[in-house]
Amino acid sequence: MSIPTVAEAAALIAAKKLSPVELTQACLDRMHRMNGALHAFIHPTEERALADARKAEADVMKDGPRGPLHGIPMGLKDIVDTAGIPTTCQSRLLEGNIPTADATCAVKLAAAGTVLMGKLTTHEFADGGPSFDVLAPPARNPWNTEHFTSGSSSGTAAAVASGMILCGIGTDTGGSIRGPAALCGIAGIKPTYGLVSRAGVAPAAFSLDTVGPMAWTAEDCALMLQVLAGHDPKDPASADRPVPDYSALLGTSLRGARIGVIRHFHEADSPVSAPELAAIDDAVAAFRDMGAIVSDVTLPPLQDWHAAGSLISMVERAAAYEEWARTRLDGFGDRVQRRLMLGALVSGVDYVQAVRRRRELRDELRDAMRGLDVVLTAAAPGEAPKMDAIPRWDVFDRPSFTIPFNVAGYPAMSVCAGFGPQGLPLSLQIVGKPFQEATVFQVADAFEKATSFRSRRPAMVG
Amino acid sequence: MPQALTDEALNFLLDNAGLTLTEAQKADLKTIQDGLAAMKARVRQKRGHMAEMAHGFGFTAEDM
Repeated sequence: MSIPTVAEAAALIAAKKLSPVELTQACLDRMHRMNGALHAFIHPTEERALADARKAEADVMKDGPRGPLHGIPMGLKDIVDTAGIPTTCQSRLLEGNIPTADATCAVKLAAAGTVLMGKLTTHEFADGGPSFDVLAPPARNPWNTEHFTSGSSSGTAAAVASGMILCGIGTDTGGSIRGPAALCGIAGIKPTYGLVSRAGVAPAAFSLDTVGPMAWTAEDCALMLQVLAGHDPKDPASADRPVPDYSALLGTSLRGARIGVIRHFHEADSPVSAPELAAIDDAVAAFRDMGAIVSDVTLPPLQDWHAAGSLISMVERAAAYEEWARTRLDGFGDRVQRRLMLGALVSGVDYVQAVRRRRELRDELRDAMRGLDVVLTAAAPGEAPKMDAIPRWDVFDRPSFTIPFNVAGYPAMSVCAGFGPQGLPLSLQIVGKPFQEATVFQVADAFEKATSFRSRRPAMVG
Repeated sequence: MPQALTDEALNFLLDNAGLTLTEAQKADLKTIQDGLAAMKARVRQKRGHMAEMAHGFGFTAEDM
């Protein structure tokens, strides 16, 4: 069976032309064949998947599908609590941890009738990087297993790209959805801060953390977000506002859409590779061809956003894991130990200045986006680097293209924008205004449909 | 260029944070001092003293 998108599978299931059991079995077959090389799943749940699929099939046959996710195989990043299923955050500190309750996002996806294929590999506590001294090995990039997936939603991206699942949950504190989506050639959105509940999800940095969808296409992410969005009193940052139809603008024309390009981020502040720059320029040309009005946008330097976000992140992580850092530091892998040490070197005054700078930066983005629908920049510097080329102190290596939109709280999505000379994916980041995810999906979907990049899967998929 | 972080100063900060590090970890941490100082410089701007960050308590009927 070829790998359908969520939308395609949903249509076939609704027409009773595709059985959720058959679909799940095809995903399981791919998992059996590829997970040994990719390490995308840390805790596969094959029996649960088959049980979910049989129930979905019976329900669909009796009453029709509950919605487009009914019978769809998906996975959850292993920092998402799942009752009765190990949730280890990839850490030796949580080896054997089995929660007694599901996270809110897991509850919502189960209620939508999804099929849980398992828990997906992450960087330890959604932090650090590719580590070989933690509970399980890091995920590998299905386009070339010697290359990095980015992180920390690394297993989700690898599993979606290889068709082991059709969609999955990631989390994003500084780019942990968009980075892996970029390097693995899939779609992933960091929603507006507060849109999706984080209750039952291990924290990284509370004022930056978000939970969001990852899938092969923007359309599939919209279908997932429809289920995930909404107020949850269990998350103190949860936004209490109506949930719009995230698919409402899909397929509508971009004629007259106003698109800004933050060119200096990826050309001057932190120059991307030549193939990545060409991919972004080609995307801009494609939007112009679709009738969009494109203009350049100038913001404070990328380094300012990276500094504010990184300092805030260092302190909030150190606070979240303070007790273990004090008493069981060597229980963490080397990379997370080093991240937690940083908290000791950032004072309370430094933190407040970073928060003040954050507010100023957010205001600059708001002003720059007046009169625009979305802005574009890179999601990653280029094709995925080799696994052993990740710097020890990557936070000081080069500024992140993704963290500005955690700093601002704005929705931001990575989509595949082509392939580089090594055959690895290139990407584009599309940023919307707060709670305007439907517009981000409109632009991303139009781009995917105007290009041919969604027709290509990693060679190992066969 | 920031002043070099002395061993005494680093030990004070680590003690204050309750962290117990090996000598190798301490040496590793000192290598990123310039990078960290550069980040801190970027978030310090000239601001008046009314530039406190906004904080909203968001009181609701439940609080009263």
